[in-house]
Amino acid sequence: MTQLDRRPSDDRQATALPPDLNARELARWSWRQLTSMRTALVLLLLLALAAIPGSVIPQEDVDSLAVSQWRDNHPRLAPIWDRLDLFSVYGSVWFSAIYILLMISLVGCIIPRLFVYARALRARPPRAPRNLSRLPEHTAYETDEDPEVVLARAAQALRRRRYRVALDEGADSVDAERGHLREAGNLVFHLAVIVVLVGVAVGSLFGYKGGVIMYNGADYGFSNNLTQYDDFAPGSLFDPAVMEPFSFSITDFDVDWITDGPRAGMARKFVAHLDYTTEPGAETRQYDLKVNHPLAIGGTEVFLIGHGYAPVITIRDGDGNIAQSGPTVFLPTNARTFESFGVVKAPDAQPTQIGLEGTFYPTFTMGKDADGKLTMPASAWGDALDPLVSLNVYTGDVGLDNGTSASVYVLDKSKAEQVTKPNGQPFRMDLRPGESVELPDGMGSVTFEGLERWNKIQISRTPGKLVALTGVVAALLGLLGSLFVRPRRLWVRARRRDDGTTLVEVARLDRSSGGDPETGRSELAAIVAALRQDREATP
Amino acid sequence: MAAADRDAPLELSGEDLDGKPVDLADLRGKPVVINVWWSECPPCRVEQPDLNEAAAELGDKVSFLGLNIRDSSAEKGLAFTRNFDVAYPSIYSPDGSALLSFAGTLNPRSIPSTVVLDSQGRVAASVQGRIPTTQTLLSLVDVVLGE
Repeated sequence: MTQLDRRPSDDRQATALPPDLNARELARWSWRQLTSMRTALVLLLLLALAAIPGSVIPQEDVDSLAVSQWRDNHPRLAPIWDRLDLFSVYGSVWFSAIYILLMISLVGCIIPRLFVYARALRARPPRAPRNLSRLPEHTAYETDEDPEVVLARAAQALRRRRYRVALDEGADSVDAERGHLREAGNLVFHLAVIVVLVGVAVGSLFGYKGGVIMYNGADYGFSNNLTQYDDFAPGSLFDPAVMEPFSFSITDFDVDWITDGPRAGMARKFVAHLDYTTEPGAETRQYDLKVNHPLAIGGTEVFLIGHGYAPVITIRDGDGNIAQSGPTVFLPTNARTFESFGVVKAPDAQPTQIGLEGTFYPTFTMGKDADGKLTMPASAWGDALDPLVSLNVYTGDVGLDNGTSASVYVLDKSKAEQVTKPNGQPFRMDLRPGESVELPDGMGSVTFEGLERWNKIQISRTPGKLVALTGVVAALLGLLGSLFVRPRRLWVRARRRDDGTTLVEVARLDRSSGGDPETGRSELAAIVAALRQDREATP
Repeated sequence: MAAADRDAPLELSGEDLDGKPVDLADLRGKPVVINVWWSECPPCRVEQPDLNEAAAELGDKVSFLGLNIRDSSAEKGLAFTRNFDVAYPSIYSPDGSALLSFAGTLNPRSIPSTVVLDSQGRVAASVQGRIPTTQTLLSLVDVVLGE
């Protein structure tokens, strides 16, 4: 971005590779290319394009769950996406490359310009051209005053109009210039873009973003340490010691279901009522967490991003002991009806491990086809009006004993065996709250005790956020300056003519293109008027 | 970690899986091994026999304390301790708040984690993830016992 207002011919010169470059010339040519306005704009555009996959393809650090689902659904594409880092776009090599090149391009362009600007600030306004009447905006009048008097008054009038003025001893003209703020605005804009980039980079290097699924109720809570996160994406320079030791629980969760109109069945408003403490032993405070209204604790922000159901399922094993109790998260597979899928594992059941896998229907119904025949079970509604959980049973090894980490949302059936009825059909149970079923072969029993809710909470710490915001505001101000400040030069020449009168010429040069000629004319007229009025005021 | 570099003694109390109160302050005077676990964590299930072996070998010289941080109910934790014959108690802290006591010292960052406290209750060593062998834990404890 070395020059904003340059002619196309300049660009052509810069782009064509001159023949027979030696290494040094090549380096210099490449540097000039990199720091050119065109390259910076292309890089900025590339950065915007590169961010698109980040919002289209599920991102590991935003929703690892969506990524694993995507992987399961696209087994052939996933390895390719992996190789292209498309699941973590913002941390990928190619994204960083664009980012860093853009930084270098901006810095390489700004530094020389800063020097040019500093020189221009100190420089004297350029001397008046010999023939002022050749300038497009000029005017003249005659007077019988001394040229010195006219020039002194012109200098004063121009200073009052906030021009930088030069009037040399014995010279026949006042040289004036104003509008340096345009270039200043330009530079501020460029610097601010760097500040934004740095701020965002600091945020992603030192910050972190994590997600956790939390049950509602005062009995459950979250404490801000790494073990509590379901997914956690730290920046590469992240230090866990900066994690603020806050904790919170969701005491209650409100959701408004729309009951009529075209959007019936959709949820309208979610509010999670939080009790939180900023550190152990601090007083408990309340906050109503809504979508897009995060809770800020120190430098960390807590967002509400989702909700769902957690059936409370108790498994008694063959010995009559409780092998599993408490709520289990079921993940919605249908965002409207909240039909959800979940897995319950009882790895410590005796005599054999038990795994349950199945579907939860908040408002159970049987689907009907066009002829009115019953088809598949479904959920009619997102609200839990008639909850039912339908589960298949597995036994054997539920996949937790080989030491490698396993998803809590997936039942590893590779070594497990499905429990069947005597006729060989899968043993399936449909339970409403309060109902119990005995498992075959003395394995134990399963009870659907009731329903809890969960919320998906995102917690992030982005240290450079304020820096980035400041940068954005500065960039805007700079841009306004560079758009609306019009740099211009103005000259007043007064010369005694042979007949004893004085010819006063005033000329103006608008240095930015596309100015309104009317503005120039009126400024000229105002200056002339000021010169003449002052004369009438002097006795 | 050398004795001189250790932070202040750890304060930690809570209820065990049976609902009985447990306070770390009552265990001062002997080294304490704290193990962070939950029943559906595969490495926890693999390392538990090693921990049991170490606890049996060290006997009265060292106290062991578990810290269950994710199980959906105490009963589920109890099913684990019953299944694996765990002889020592575990604080039940499903919201992980018990871990905040470690903030600023060696942080148990992952599940499982094992922390060795000296006889004054100060963090002396920690293992992130599964302890590689019983011997690893025994040698960490030996250092503290030798002080």
